Amino acid sequence: MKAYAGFGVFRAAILWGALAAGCASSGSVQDGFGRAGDVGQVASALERSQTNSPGPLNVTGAPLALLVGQSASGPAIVAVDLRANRVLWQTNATVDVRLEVGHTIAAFGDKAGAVVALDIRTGRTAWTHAAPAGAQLLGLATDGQGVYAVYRNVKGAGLLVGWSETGSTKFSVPLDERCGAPAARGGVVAVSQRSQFVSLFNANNGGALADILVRDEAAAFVRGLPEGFAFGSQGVFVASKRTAISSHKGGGYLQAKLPEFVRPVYYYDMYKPAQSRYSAIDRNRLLWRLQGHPETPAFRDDRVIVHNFRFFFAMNANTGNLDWAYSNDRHDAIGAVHAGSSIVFADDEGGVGALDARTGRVLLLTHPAGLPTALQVHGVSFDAEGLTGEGPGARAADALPQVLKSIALHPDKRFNDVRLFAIDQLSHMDDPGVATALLEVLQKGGGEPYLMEKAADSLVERGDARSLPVYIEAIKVKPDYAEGRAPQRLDLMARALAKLGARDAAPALVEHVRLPETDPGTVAEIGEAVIALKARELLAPFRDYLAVYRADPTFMSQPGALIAAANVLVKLGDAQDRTLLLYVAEEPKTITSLKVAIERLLAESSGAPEVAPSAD
Amino acid sequence: MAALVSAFAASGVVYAKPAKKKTAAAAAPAVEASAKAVAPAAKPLSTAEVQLALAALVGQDEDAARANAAKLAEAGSGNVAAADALIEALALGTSPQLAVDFVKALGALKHPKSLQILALYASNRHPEVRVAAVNALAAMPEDGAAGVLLERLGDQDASVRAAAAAGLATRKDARASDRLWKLVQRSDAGAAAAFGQLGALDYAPKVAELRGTIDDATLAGALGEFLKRPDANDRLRVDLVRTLGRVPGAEATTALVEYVSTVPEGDARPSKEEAETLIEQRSR
Repeated sequence: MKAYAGFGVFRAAILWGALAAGCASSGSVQDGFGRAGDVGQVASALERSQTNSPGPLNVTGAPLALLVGQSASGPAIVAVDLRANRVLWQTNATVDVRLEVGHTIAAFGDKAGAVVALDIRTGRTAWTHAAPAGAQLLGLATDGQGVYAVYRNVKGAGLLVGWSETGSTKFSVPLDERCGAPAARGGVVAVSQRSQFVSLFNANNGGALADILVRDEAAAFVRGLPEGFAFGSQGVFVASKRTAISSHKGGGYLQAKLPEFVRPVYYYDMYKPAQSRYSAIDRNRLLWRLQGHPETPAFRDDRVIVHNFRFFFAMNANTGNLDWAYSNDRHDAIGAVHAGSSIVFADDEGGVGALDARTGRVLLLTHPAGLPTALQVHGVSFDAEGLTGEGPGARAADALPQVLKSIALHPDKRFNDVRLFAIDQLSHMDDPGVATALLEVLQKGGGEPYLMEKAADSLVERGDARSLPVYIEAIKVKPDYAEGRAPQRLDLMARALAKLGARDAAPALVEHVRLPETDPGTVAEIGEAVIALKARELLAPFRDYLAVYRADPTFMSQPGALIAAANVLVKLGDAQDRTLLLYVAEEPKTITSLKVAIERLLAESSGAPEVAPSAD
Repeated sequence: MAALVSAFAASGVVYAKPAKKKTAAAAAPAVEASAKAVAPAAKPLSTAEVQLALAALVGQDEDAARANAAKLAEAGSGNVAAADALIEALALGTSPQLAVDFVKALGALKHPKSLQILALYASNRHPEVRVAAVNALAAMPEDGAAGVLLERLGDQDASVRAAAAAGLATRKDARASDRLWKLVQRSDAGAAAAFGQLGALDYAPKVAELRGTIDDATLAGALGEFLKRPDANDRLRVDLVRTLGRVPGAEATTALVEYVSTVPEGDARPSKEEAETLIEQRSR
């Protein structure tokens, strides 16, 4: 790599610091990216990266959640053994840069940019390395063999520093001024530089191994997964010989098909220091893992998990279909990780949970024993690779229509886009419970009108004959203040029944015409349904409606319901109905717009309504 | 309920309307002048007078329509011709304001024929029309009227519920008590007195237990009526008086005062003494 302008002073200071500490720098300052994309170098570098064991990295072997937040005694880190469902240890510390769990330690950055390592078994401070003067800590990584940090000085130059887990400095390597936080995997450290290079370093001595050249999109992140290194921004490149020069068309690239409401955040933007801190990104991103050979990879189980605050949606990455969903009803999941077989998460009160990544089955949902009082969690890191089996709170996955309904009914305005998605998903489901769910959304769901419109349209468009009993039961229910029953969305039910050709339901529907709670718009919809269903035996309420309200000035500006009632009589009525219509049209007190409409309707019917054989 | 307009059509009233309308229109000026000149009269109306009144009811002069409705109402309970005229006018439709007057007039006639049209207007879109219809139905002895009143206890408008509750209380229809109890639990002040009059005495302690969860006016209204019940024993009354004593506001004081006023002279009930003490304390 080339020598970086403006880097000298910073590098000198660091190297001085390192030397003063008795450690030598690698001295392998790269002089440029001229060999970036060298397939041989990249393959060789990746081969050096040993595959991690299938379980947690930490020496206890227990799957851990490290909760970071505020307890009654101050800023706290609480290590939870997810298998034993208890607090392993807790310590008071202020975490700035996100915790990373290694083999014997867990490391984080403090407010001053120092890297602090805690003994993973006890939580006691194992060692601390202060930040170089004026330098900003961009992020940390661990691989079970060491801790790696990237700093950026006030002039912007970067530096990668490596320590052993015992705290001895292994190396320091200057980086481009445009560099991101590091990733590590089995003896290799990866750092994205200039957004288009992923540089691979020997984790023992900082020696430069190779640079992957990334085309087509920025390498905003790089991850060290058990399956291999992955990088990208709008999608995921999997590091291999094939992606030594990475392009969308070159293979080894994955991008999931996602619904509109999803922000496609595949991982943190490692160039942004804010994203090395616990933030809203931890609550609203994609969770994914890989399978297959790195040169022909796929998302694990062909699925990505959309983590959206308190909701998880398992989407088929190829089709965009929803496989399962989970709603953590009371709390947002403040952080979550895809641990291979499971999705592990924690909420803001220290509750932890795990879901089977394939099915959404709840494997764990509990408040671990020994949590400090008044704990408010604002971030969480996990070392829970391979977490399987069931623990406290385990239960079958909730039926998808039920989950989607609960989401659609969620009152929080933050989730309007998710609610819309849930309603949309419901509408496409072939499940007899869907109509019930959509009806409940309509009856109980408040909020934005477009959400209700969506639910209404979905309900009508379904035209699912299995829903008929649901509609019939629903329309039998009349509004009643004493019983706490509010008026229903009968307009929608009328449309749905008309579409279904549900003549049997028409009598119960028409009864609502006479109720004071039935608004004129609904009367009009019921009239349309009666016409569509050719329910000639149900005209009496429309006659009454037309006669009683024909001179009511409150209909003057909106005569739609009266015109609809007249239309029912025109379309389905007999000679006597025609007489009534003529009377109403001629009677001086009848509102003018209704008179005009009746005259038009009669003219359109060519003076001959579809006369029924006899009066009702 | 049968289709009213259809029923009239079958009887020829609506069916004949286009031809009849010309007659009515031609006669209208004379009818209206006549209607305005008519002073309230108690004597029975002739068929001709009823026909003239009907013409006025469906005519364009609202004052004449009102005056004739009032005239028909004075025809006396059970006058079928007067009832028919009002029923027909309502079946043909009018403004909400006139509908209130017509319904009131029809209610005064208390004719069983008016049950259907009153039931129809008890479901009118306008609460004031529904209140008038409910009040009219309350005065009718037919059981069908009670059914409508029970239904209107579930009306979304408080004034309609209150009218229905009062009507059912007047009719001493204990079938209303379950629904009234639900309304009391929802702090519906309009149901309170009726529930106190119709509810089983077992409910009185339950109402007292609602203190703090429903508004004080509803609580006092219901307890005050329970207190006045002749079938309540004095031990219960004492409990109710004490509960009312803990309820702030003028409604509770009024309930205590009303109770004391209902106790016969010389009846030295402990509940009365306690109520008097509380009234005195509350008046300081």
